[in-house]
Amino acid sequence: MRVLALAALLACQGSQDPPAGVPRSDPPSFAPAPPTLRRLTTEQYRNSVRDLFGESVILPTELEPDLQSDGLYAEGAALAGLSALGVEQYEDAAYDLAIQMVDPAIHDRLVPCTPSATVDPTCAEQALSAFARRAWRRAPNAAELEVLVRLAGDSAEVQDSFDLGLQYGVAAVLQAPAFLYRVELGEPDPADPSLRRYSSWEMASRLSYFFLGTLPDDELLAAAEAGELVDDALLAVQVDRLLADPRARDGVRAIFSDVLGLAGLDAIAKDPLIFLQWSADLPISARAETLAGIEDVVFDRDVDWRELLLTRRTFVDRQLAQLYAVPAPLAEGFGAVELPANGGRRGFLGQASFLVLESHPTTTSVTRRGLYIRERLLCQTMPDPPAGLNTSIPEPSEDAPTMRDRVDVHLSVPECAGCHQLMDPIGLGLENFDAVGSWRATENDVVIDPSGDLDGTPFADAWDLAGVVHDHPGLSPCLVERLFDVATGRQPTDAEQDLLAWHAEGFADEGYRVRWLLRDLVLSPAFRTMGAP
Amino acid sequence: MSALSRRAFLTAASGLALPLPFLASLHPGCATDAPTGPHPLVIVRAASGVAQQDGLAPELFWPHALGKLTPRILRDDNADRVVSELADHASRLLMVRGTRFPFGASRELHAGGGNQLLTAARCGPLTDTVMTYALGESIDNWIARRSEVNGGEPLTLYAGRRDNYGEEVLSYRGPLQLRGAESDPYAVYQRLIGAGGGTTLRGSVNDLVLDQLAALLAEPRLSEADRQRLELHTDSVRDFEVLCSRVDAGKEAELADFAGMSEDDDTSLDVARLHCDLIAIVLRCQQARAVTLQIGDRLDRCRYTVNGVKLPQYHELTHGLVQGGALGAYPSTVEMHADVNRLHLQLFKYLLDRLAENHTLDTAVTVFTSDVSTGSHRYDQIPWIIAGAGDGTLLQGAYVDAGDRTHDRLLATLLTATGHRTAAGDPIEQFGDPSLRGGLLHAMLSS
Repeated sequence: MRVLALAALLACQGSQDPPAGVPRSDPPSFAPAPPTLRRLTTEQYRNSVRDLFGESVILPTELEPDLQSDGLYAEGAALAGLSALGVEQYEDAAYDLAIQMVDPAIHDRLVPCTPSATVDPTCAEQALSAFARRAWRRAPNAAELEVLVRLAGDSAEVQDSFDLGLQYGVAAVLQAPAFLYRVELGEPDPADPSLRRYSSWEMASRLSYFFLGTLPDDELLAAAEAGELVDDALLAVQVDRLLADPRARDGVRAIFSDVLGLAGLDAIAKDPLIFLQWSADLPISARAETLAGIEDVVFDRDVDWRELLLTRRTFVDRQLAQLYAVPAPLAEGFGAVELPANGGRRGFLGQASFLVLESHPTTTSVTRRGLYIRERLLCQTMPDPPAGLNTSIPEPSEDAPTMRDRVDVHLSVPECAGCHQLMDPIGLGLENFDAVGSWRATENDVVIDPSGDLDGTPFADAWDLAGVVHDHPGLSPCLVERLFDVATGRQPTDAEQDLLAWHAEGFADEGYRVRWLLRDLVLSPAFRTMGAP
Repeated sequence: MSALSRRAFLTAASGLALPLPFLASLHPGCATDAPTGPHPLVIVRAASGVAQQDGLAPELFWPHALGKLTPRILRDDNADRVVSELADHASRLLMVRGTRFPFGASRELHAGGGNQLLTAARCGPLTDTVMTYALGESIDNWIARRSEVNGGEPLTLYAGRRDNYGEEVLSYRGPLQLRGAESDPYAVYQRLIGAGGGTTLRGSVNDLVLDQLAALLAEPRLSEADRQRLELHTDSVRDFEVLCSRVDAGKEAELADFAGMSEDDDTSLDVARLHCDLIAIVLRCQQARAVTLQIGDRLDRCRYTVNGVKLPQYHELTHGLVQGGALGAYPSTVEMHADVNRLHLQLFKYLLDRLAENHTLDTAVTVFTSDVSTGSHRYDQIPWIIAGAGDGTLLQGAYVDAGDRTHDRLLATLLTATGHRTAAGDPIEQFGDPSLRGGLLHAMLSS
């Protein structure tokens, strides 16, 4: 019944609501999945620390690396352990941060009182209670607070300084599992005691880390403490506030960076002797272009996200302008441009980020590009190649000057053809873009044939392929699934598939607007209730 | 920056003066990242030379033959030689004979040897009828001041009796600036690791961390996979604590028990072993770049006990000043000298074992030496036993003859092996008195 109440609430939410006169069906029944225990990703840790200490803080650089699972760091966070080296790095980071309390700006932010003596338990408790509440996204219990205050007092006594003593307490808070992990244990749901729901405190973290990539702000914590985030209407108020927060732009950039695998651009290199347009800055610019486009579609214009595949509007700096052969922005940095109507390039599949990411250092990779579209954009799972199989393709020759000629090897060997038929023909559609994303009509002086088909729909070239992917029935349900993964830190269970389909249907009805989808996913019963482990 | 900050915290908590400005952490690049940078250098020095061939005195110290060293060669072929004590580590050892001090002594040869051993500098003027001090900086100080670790200071340790005269001999901040050494490992432990202050506080931090982990692990709603991850976290906290923040409870009690007992003849080597325990932790935690451990004062008059027999004063026996019944079952003082050398190398082996346990033996350069070569105060054939590859430039598993070269070249080679270079990126070829020709000791190099 709570779900019905939610639907009724949604009908009263102004511009975010489903269209009047088109009542949305009730969500299908589902079995809630167990919660995940996510370790803060490096980015979340750094964002959280920045929010705790303020903009002047010097952030730690060496932390236990993030883990990727199913192509997502958001899922890897629910699997990542912590080595002894990781413990050391977190300890170092905590002390490096705590020491910075000598900075008056940070000190004033963290110490809300004036100590009356070197050891002042009242002031220490006031400071550490507030700091731990923010860092741990919940109120510290009496025993925890007692340890922190005693620690600060002991240290203050030894060092003959209240502030130096307090640094120990702050460092302790930052090493606590309550800070490093997103602990979600839930509470009985009063509406249905057979279910458990995420507590108000836990919902605050779930919302904030999903939308903003950082810990909850004061208003969200206050709402959490008041128990508002288990109330449908009050939860929606906070969701709308967060989505309207300018920081949500960075949050959505982080989500799509994970979904599209753009972190992989950090480790990309191409042969500069082959690709004269290559530079180490190109991947940085390429990522910025893609994320600027997403921000434009999701926030500036709030339109059908699939436009990202078809649009000729993009954002380039001087380097990308040169690569795409379009006028450079007049000012430094990025500017919006319109790609030529007859230039063969449009949308995300024509962007350097994807094209660079899914190429080899010296050549394109039709297999990787095809695989990316299958797995990242359409959520189709491809089997790994059999062990011991020679996956190399021949060097160009007179008989096989183009990539299409050379990958015939894959397609003519029975052990390879089964899978490569699913990937290579898609990748061949993008052969007019070399390994750095530069346009080419020929390869080794032979005209490239970029035609092919995707799941039975033919395309003539990359321009056409973008349209075929745009219209693919798996595209938007895949985005729904990937955003759900990021929001929950796990893949949906079989028992949640109908619910996911319901969200995807709503997404389509709402014109494929990502902001609507983000809101819909966090108001979903799957985001708010948990099952037994 | 990381290890420095932690150490600064712990040191601060121990109530002593901070070797590092806290503000250093506020400026990126003002402190180095601990895991990188030069390899640490550890030097263990015993007094009064070794029982090597000298006039009519037989060779009892070095291996029978130059060349390759293996555990089998040292254990089986050289069982009668003192260096066989190090057989377990033979493949990591480089034994070097054939170096000499470049300068003579102003008066007293032990003092003069101590002046030069780590400085390759001339001896200064007599300060009284006996004592002189070096006119240069020692290698440990040279290394330490190029790093912010331990506030740019070397760790200077001492085990043995003190007679209020001519005690420390090794570490010089500069000309005539002899550094005092720390005798009490418990005090060093408290200062460096933070026992009684920092360790207690760190323990409290970890108590909070472990309490939260335990509370989570007790939560029945946790999945098995998440439980395993938290157990790993718990183990990691404990591993790290054991590795880096403190010695175990038994060892800490042992440190406390031996507090103030460094000077007792019967316990000085036990105290030296505790120093070795600390050195291993200090290197593991990258809390010092250069460490010296001095056994005995410039003469070392300790009455060591071998196989239950308390020997005459070490300095006297090395000079052959023991006769008659005082020899006991020994045919001569040379054998006594060799047996004390064995005690010293057993201590050195103990240090190598601890370094190996802490995974720092291969990357550190650890040296055993003496500030005269034999009981007759010779300044040639100074004994050098070096363990560890450093940056890979040192030959290992070998016994070489340097060919009567001055030992400044050996010190320069140690600087190279610990990864130090000139501003132009070249090996450090000049160390010690400016009049010395310098250069590396090529017999020590792996290629």
